[in-house]
Amino acid sequence: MAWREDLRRVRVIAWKDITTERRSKAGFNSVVALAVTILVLFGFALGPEAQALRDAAAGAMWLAALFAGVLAFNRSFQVELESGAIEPLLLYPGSRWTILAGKLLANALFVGLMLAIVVIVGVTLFQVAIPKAWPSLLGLFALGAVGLVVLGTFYAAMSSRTRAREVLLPLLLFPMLVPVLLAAISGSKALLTGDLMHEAGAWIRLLIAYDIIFVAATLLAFEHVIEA
Amino acid sequence: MNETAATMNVPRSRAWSLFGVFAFVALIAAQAYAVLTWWVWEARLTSTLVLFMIFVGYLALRSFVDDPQQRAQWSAAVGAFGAINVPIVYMSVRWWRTIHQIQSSPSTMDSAYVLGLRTNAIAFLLIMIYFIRRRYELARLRRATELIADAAALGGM
Repeated sequence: MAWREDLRRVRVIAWKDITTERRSKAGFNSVVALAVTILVLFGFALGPEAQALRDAAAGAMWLAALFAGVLAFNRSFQVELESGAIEPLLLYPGSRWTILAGKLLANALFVGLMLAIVVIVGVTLFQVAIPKAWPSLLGLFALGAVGLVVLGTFYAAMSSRTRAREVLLPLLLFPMLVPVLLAAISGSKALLTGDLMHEAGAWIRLLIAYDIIFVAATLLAFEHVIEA
Repeated sequence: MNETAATMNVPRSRAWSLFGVFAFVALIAAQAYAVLTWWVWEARLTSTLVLFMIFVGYLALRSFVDDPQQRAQWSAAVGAFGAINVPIVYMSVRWWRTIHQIQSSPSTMDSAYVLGLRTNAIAFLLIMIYFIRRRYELARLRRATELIADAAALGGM
């Protein structure tokens, strides 16, 4: 069964990345610390007024997750390059897309955990009340995280192998993520304020469409990007 | 990959940098003409700005990758992904109702303007094609001289 073999490869690669991260914890801890610092800085920038903070909470949380997430994406390929592990990884038999899929899973877990911490800290700092529709908010955060991770991991596969990886990844990634950020920020803002205009559903549909398009596109394009 | 393929790929994608110039001119012209302020968060203008920023990222990627084969393949991927935003720019005037009018067509405008619109649209398309063609030839020649210089330095030819 070819697809079962592929699935096993995806699982093994995801497990490898998660284990590396679990044993060192250095990457995760610093990324979360950065995200929390950015949240605090947004707090300073937006002023002490409670209503202004509440209005900006959704945007601040997503941007903090985005800025910190960029570091995580670059890392996931950089560790392979530093130890010269990328060539053996490519030489193993089987489809190449499984490498990306495995890394996507590991990064999704990574960013998901980070987002959970960001939301807890953000809700506290920006004095937001947890809405009754919190399950939809959870779903929206999950869809937004998938959007960030898919393109972030894909572009990191290229940028981590160039000279200016720290600058290049945000430069490539941020404009492409505008639809995700717009949908995620507007959707969570609507849900946090009780969704009076019933607009959250439309934003969630946009996120689902974006995620499907880019998961398919990156899995198809990955083979051409990684072999070059 | 052999050298001919590399010579073909590199100049072709480099010629697309002209697209960025056109997008920038469109941005400046559109807002100077219609908006009459320095900036307004209007759907068509904002989505064009995002497209322009995607293009800036594309050019940055090109300048940071040295291997021609790698550069060609990566630019192709980034270019294809970036092109997904073109329909968003096109549809932006229908999806978000801001001050820009919906796409102009003979049914939405006075017949006196139809000929002018068509002439200008075709003329700009032709100028673009001409510029890309010339830029492509120039890049090919440059690449050929590089290859000759490399070969001469290695004592070949």
